[in-house]
Amino acid sequence: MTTFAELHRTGDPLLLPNAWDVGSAVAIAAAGAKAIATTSAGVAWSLGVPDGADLGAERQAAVIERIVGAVGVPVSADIEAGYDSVEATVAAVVQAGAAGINLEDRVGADLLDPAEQADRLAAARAAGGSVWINARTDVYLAGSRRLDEVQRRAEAYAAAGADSLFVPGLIDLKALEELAGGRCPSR
Amino acid sequence: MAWAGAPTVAEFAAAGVVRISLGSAIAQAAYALAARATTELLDKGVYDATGDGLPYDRLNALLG
Repeated sequence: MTTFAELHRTGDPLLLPNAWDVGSAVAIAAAGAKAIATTSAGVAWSLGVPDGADLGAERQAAVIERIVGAVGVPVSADIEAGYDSVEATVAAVVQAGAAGINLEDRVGADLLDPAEQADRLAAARAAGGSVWINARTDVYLAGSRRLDEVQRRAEAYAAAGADSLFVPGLIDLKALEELAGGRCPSR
Repeated sequence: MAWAGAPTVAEFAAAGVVRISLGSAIAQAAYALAARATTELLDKGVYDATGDGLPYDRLNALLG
C-alpha cells in the first residue's frame, strides 16, 4: 500500500476530504479517496461541543480509532492545538492508528510564539515517531496575514520536525508557489 | 485548505501544493442538508431535499 507520506507529491497533490464520524469516513473512502483527514470542527459538532473548546485527546483518539477500523486508507487526525498535552495527544492518536496529524499554532485567539510552537512540534515528533506532521499556522486566520511571517514560521517548524505546512485562509496561488519552493512545502 | 470558489486542484497543483483538504466544509454542507430537509418538511410539506441520499443498503454494507 502506498504510504501516507508517499501520497504527498508535487504536481499530483494528495486530495484529502475531511470526515467527522465513521459514516462520513466510509462514504468518503467508498467514493475513492486515497486517504482521509478528520475535521476537528466536524468531530466536535458531532459530539456536542464547539470547535476550539476542549474536545480532549481521549475523545479525539476514540473517533480516530473507530474511523481507522472502518476504512482501508490512511487517516490523518486533526488534533487542534494538542489539548492538555501535545505528547499525550499525539501518542493517543498514533496508538489509535493515525498516519498523520495536524497541529496548529493557535490556542484560543492568540498565535503562539514561533519558538514555542517549534518546541511543541518537536514534542509531537518525539511522541509520534514517523507520523506525518502537518504544521498548521493560523497567520492568515488570526494573525498578521503576512507571507514573510509564514515563511519564518515554516523554517522553524520544518527544523522542529514538521513534514508539511498548512496555511488555512491562504489560497493565493503566487504566495503558495513561494511557500512550496521553501523548506516546508505548503498544503 | 480549499472551499467553494477557491482555485481548482489543477491550479493548486501547478503552484506546487502537495495536499488539498476541505476543512469542515463537507460537514457544514451535510449539516446544511439536515437543516434544509427539516425546513422543507415543516414549511413546504415535501421531502425532496433527501432525494440524493446514499442508498440505505449501500451505506449499511460499507459498515459491515
